[in-house]
Amino acid sequence: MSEEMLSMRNIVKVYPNGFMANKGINFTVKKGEIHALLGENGAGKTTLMNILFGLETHEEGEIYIEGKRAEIHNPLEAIQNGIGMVHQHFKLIPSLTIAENVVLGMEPESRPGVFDLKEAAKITRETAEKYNMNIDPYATIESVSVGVKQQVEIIKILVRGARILVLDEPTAVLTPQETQQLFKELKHLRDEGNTIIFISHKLNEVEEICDTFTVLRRGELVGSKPVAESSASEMSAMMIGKNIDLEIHKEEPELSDERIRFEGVDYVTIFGKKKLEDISFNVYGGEVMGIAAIEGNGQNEVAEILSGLLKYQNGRVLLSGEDIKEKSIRSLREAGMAYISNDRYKFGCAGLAPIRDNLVADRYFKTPVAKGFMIQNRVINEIADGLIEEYDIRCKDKLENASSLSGGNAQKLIVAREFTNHPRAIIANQPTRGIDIGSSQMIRERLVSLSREQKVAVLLISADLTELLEVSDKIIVLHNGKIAAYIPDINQIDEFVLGEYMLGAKHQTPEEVRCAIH
Amino acid sequence: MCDPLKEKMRRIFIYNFEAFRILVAITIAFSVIAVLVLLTSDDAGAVSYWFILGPLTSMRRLGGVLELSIPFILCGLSVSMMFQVNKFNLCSDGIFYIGMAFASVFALKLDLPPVLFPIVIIVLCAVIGGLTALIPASLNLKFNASVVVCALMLNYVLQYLGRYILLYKVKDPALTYNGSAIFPKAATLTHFVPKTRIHTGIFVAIAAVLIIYWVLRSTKLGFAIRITGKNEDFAKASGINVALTVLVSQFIGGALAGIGGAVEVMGIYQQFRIDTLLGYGFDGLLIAVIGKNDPLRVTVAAVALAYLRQGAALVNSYTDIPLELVQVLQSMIVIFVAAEQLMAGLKHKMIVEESEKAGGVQHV
Repeated sequence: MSEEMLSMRNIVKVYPNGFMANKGINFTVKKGEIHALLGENGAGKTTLMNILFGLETHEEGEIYIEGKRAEIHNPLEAIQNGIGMVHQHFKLIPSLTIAENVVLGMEPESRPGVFDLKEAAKITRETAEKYNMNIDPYATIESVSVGVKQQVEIIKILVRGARILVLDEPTAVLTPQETQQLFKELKHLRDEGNTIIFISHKLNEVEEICDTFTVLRRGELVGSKPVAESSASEMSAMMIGKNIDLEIHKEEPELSDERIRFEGVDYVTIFGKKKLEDISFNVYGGEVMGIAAIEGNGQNEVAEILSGLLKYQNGRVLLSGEDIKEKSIRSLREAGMAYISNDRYKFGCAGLAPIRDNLVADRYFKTPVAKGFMIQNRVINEIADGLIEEYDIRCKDKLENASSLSGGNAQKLIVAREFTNHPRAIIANQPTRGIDIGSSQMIRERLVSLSREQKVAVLLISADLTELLEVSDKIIVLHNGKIAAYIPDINQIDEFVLGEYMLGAKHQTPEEVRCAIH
Repeated sequence: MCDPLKEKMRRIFIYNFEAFRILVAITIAFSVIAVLVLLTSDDAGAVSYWFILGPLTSMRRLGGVLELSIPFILCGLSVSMMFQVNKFNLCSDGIFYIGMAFASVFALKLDLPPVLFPIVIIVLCAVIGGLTALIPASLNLKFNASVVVCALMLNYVLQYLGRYILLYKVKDPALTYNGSAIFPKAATLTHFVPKTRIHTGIFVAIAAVLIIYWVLRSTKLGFAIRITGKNEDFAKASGINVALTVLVSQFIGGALAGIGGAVEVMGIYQQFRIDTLLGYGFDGLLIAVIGKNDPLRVTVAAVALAYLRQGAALVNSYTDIPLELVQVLQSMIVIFVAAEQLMAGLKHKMIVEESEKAGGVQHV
């Protein structure tokens, strides 16, 4: 048996609102393994890792590193103890070079007070080469891909002497190709004697690269096991406490009328950057159109234009046959547009307003909520209670602020609202990003059933290609703001070919792309 | 181990935390003040007496508290309506002043029967105040100009506009000072409590509190204002007309300050002789912040501040403490009450104990 690298014992964490996120968790990681930390949202994984990295204080419990008691109260002490963390959202400065980002806070100096960029580049290159990463230290962060940014984050913590690397959902933003590359690097890092804690929702990835896994549920430890002795279905059962069916069952689409139509749409930002160019496609009621794209290739602009938040320049966008250009967001919503934004806390809810108010923000002005110019708080309570029950939004009270909800429950709140205001066309931008299996599955199933049973047109944007292929009937791929491919039948394609279109390695002919509108 | 009394106390503490916090804040403030007073006064007993109990010692003094509460409540509501949607539109002070100025013009130039006369003046001043408050807000919406800067500059404009009205439009040349003629009886608010200047404007203030409370809680407009204030982007994405909502709440805020000015000049002075801003708008800011923009709490804060002011004025009149120190005293209390994180650590510890007792299953 190999020796113990990290041991967190009896960790208790209570948030100021009284929510107990960790209830005496014992978590042990062996030296030189890739250890998966699994659990639904709100299970306490992120809290546990934030405690390890000194971002949160814990009320009780101790942390031992290589058998020695470690006091970690802030990230600096965590780094001194050899702990490094790659956050889900990168913490890099876009306008600086890779080398500058790597040495930030520990800059080498050629003379006192003078920054030595050459030395910084050398440090960066040496570490990168040691782990077979191929990067240019002089490139600026804003000019490189998401995959490279992640490599920079890893190099950053390695340079600081990390021996325990914590990666919080590292593959959520990567293409399949980039994911494979990351896995190769992680294995290499492990073989060099580093210990890796891997937080993920994707069980196939856990099976692929992890040695051991630990499952948390509702702030408690469920169990810990070698991956080789377990299976994906056992893991998911441990995570949610029961077996769930991970397959989506859907019938052949039966189309109704055209609901969404983009005709030669261009969008140029106020800085003159062309974000969308000649986008044409249409979606009928009863079908799910998927959009596949690497972050920043125009998919968010498509969603925001259709939701009325963004004004486009050329072309036409029609919702149920009507031009949306001069319409207010309210009239679009009244025409059946529903919008799940990828930015949950910006466009999806008001964190400081009660859960109750968030659930009716799109319908407070009409019957049954409103009566004349008044709103009926009694009706709002009834609607809120109904939706909280139906969508299993876990909260103490509907009058609590939405910010007290965990990420998954906040998303359920948004979905509960958007799915129930008689939608005719739903824009779902990353509807399941970063949320647990149970909630994700519920959202996917509802998207399919809305399209099949209520003949809603669904436009699904997702970075999770498995989800995209499961839920969609057809797919368009965006690359650099243009449609790179139109796949009318998803049975004709797999994740790798999709990845090639997304990366721009492959393009369809203009004739093929033109079929996206018919 | 399980002490039911202790547990009950803990729960009372958590649920009434805000009240405890303010109580502790006031106690600390008074302790600090006591030290200062002992250092500067020969008669510390008299100082504490006048400061703490002074306003209660006679009908006239208590009346002073309520008289001052009227403009404080209206200005507090005014600022809280503007802040409700995150527009730091600090023009209430100037609006209050021109509210007085225009009220005096209407009082002297119009001729209407009693009861109707003050109502008409209040409505006109409300409209003027509301429209004025739209200036910084619309400059912000249209040109992205800073609301704070526009509003502060606007205060100067309003101050000199008010003085212009005083000196060139309503000044009574027969007077030896800059002042208008006394308003006709029909254009004043009745003092209805003997020995005080408490006037019918107090009902206007109470009505304003109730109406604003009801608007925010039970109307479509109130809902839109609340959501817009909490997250403008979300409000927009949900289909709320954010620009209109912001403008309406600024209008209401301005109207309340305009009403405040009109009521004050008709109730207290009954002629226009103020040649500079009174600062009530900024007292309103203080009240709105302490009252967290909630109409009922704003009212409590307004009365409390009026009480403090009255106590301070009495200390100034009856003891050897200099006026400057009196200002320090009342500011001190406000500072401690505003310290939101006071005792937050203790509260957290209590919540931890409570959660552990409950087995931590609070989120289900």
